[in-house]
Amino acid sequence: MPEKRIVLRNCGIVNPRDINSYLEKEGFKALVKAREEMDPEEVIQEIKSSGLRGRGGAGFPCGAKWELARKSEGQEKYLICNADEGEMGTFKDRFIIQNDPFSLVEGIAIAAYGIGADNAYVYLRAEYRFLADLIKNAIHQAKEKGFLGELNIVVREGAGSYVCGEESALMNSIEGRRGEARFRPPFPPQKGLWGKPTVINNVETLMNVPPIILKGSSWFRSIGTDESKGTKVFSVSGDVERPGVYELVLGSSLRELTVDLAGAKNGAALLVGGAAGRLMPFSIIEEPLSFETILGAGAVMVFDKDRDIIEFIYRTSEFFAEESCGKCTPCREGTEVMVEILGRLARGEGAEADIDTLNDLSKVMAATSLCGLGQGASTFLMDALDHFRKDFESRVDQSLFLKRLRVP
Amino acid sequence: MPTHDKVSGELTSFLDKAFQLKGLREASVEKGNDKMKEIGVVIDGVKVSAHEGMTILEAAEQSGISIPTLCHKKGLTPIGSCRVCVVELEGSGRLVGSCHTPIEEGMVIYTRSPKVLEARKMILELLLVSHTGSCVTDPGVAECELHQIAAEVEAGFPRFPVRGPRFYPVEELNPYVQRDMSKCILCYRCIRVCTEIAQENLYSMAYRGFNSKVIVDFDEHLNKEVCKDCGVCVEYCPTGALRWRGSVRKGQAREVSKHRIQKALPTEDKKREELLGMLKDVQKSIGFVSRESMVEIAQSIGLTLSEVYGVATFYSFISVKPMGKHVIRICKSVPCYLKNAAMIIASVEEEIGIKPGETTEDGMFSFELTNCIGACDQAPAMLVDDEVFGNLTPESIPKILKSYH
Ligand SMILES: Cc1cc2nc3c(=O)[nH]c(=O)nc-3n(C[C@H](O)[C@H](O)[C@H](O)COP(=O)(O)O)c2cc1C
Ligand code: FES
Repeated sequence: MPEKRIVLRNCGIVNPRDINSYLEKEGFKALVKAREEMDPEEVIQEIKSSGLRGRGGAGFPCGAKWELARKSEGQEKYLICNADEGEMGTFKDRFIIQNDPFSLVEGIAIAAYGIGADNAYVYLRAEYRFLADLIKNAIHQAKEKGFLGELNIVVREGAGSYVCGEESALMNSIEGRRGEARFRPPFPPQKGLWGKPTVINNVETLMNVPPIILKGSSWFRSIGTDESKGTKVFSVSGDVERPGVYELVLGSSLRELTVDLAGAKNGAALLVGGAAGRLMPFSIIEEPLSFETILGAGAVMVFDKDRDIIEFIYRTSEFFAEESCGKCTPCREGTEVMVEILGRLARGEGAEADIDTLNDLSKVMAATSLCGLGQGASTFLMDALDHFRKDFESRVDQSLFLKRLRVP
Repeated sequence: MPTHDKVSGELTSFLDKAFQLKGLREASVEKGNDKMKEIGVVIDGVKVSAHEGMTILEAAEQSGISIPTLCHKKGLTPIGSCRVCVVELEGSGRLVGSCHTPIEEGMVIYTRSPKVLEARKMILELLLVSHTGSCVTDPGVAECELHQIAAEVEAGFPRFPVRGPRFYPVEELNPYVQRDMSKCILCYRCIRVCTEIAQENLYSMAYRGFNSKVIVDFDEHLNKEVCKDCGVCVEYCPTGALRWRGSVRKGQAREVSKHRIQKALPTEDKKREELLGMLKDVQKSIGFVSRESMVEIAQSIGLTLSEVYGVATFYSFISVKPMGKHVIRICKSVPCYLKNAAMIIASVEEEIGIKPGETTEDGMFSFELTNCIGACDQAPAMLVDDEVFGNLTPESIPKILKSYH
């Protein structure tokens, strides 16, 4: 299946600082259409029937989320655009904002209209501070041209924390708290920011909204697979010749993305969806990329055959431990235990029993962690043990062998 | 499947139920009996009835089924952090926290299934690993809820070590309350009781992840200026982390100052929304957030010092210690690591003569390693203040850094 530009349609074409260049490319036509020809329920219905699912990693049906928030009691509602993009190996939202901030503003405005929100936030990670002016400028110009009406869009900057991309931690952060996860239910569309109904959508999800409104849901539904409509923007990094951002029709294979487009030559393993994604042997590259199979937020990292896979698994476990918010026991203590054990295994000081302990630990972390961070860490660990157990075992054997050599 | 899907799957089934429930509720409103709807559920194979609005824990207790809890205690707002109270819900892949999950019509709940027991045991082991101090020889150990629950779920000696257990000196400055934070299991009870019942809001969680710690003010020893003598926190602490000083045992305290207790909760003020922005502004202008600035901020938005400190220390771009004029952050995550970030780290070390975590003597640069900065397509990459530099080579480093002099 081919590359196709829906989300990135304006990238490199419009001037990200000038609204006029965006207006020339049908800019804000979708918003005007939504406001003038559709009532909010129709907007939600259109998104629902398009089959659009969240692009931030969880793949939740976008229209259903909006509907729940719209139907939740209360006048005051919020929309949050999640531009935290902290997932290791992901940089597509950065690319989108750098090139086409206006479409994002338009998507936000349509979503806010559908939900009935007068206030919207863009939560931008601290590492992307250099993008803040670009977004603020786009909001300002759209406001000046009268496209935003009463809608108030505020850019809120993070302060260095991966878990703040997780929806409940994100809301705590906006409220001026520590970015700790909250238990659910209640889910954000019922009780979110300040206890009010709140929709949180990824940048890329919102980028899909204007074209769907303009061209209709049946157009969008005709692209992709049964459960995965439209395209996906991928961030490819690691051992490839052409790392970068690629937009493909959903259902395209990992081979098309990593080998044909990005130029992977000698792959041994893949990490799809970032640290909280899936770690797989390269042999899965004929698999389609879709919500039914494997996708996440669309980060794909390639590892060559000459890489030390255990070293890499250890480093990724450090990532989780450093970024855990620390609220719930399995994630706070579990990620630390992971690092300790994997560190020993990587240094050749591990034992067979360590592998079993990791296995037990990952099951409990998956079942009990409060949010996707602890759960993601456990999926990663389970994949590592499932697919690379041999590497672990031979490392243990090696260390036993070395120990024996050391004995006089 | 990406794990996020599990949460999303939960939300989907939750949504179905929510819409169903809504229908039910609307129907019952019509009949005029909206209050305290009876709900039928099955717990451990027994049909029991509960009321709408109860948690799973409450419904179980009402039917004489006990579920161990640690972070939760009657009278406090549930926080769901310890995960000891998890139960299995038929149709859900994950376990749910019973202290905070509302009961719903038709739920089939197992409080002692093998999966639940295994999870509880592991969680207790995880808590015990970093619960250090002189527990075994301690007369207070009989009162330690952690040890009681560990015995109850038959958790033995932890299967795993940690790199460095949390260890802190005992705090004995306060005439009534002694704090031994090495024994703290981070259950948030003292934080909540001090806020919700004593209304002093003295404690806060600070730092993050494994380094989390319950702190007072700017992470200082508890003293009598800040903490008076109400001591409700001692009675709520599940371990020996908080104790009365001298020979008074838990539960034997003289009447704690009841006058403080059960006042109305302060209403949440939206002003604290400004907090992160204020901290970042100070960080930007003077390179760190000083004590004076935190005092000022706390006063201006009506928070306690510990709350401000707790937020400041959570975020890695905010520092409570002085930093250099420019901050170099080299990405050490996997995509950059694969592209030889180690060499870049070495070149920066050589160029400015310091290691990660340090600041140059002239105060020009601070040097840190950071997680993925979203520039993996230009790996190896670094941030100097807000600016990204990609496709770095050891040769490019001197030039970049000189431009900041
Ligand atoms: C640890 C963690 C980090 C996350 N980081 C992000 C992020 O940076 N950006 C994002 O859009 N979603 C992130 N998510 C997913 C969000 O919780 C949420 O599902 C998403 O923003 C919803 O938007 P969508 O439905 O449009 O995908 C993260 C989840 C977890 C568990
Ligand atoms: S008692 Fe429920 S999570 Fe701690």
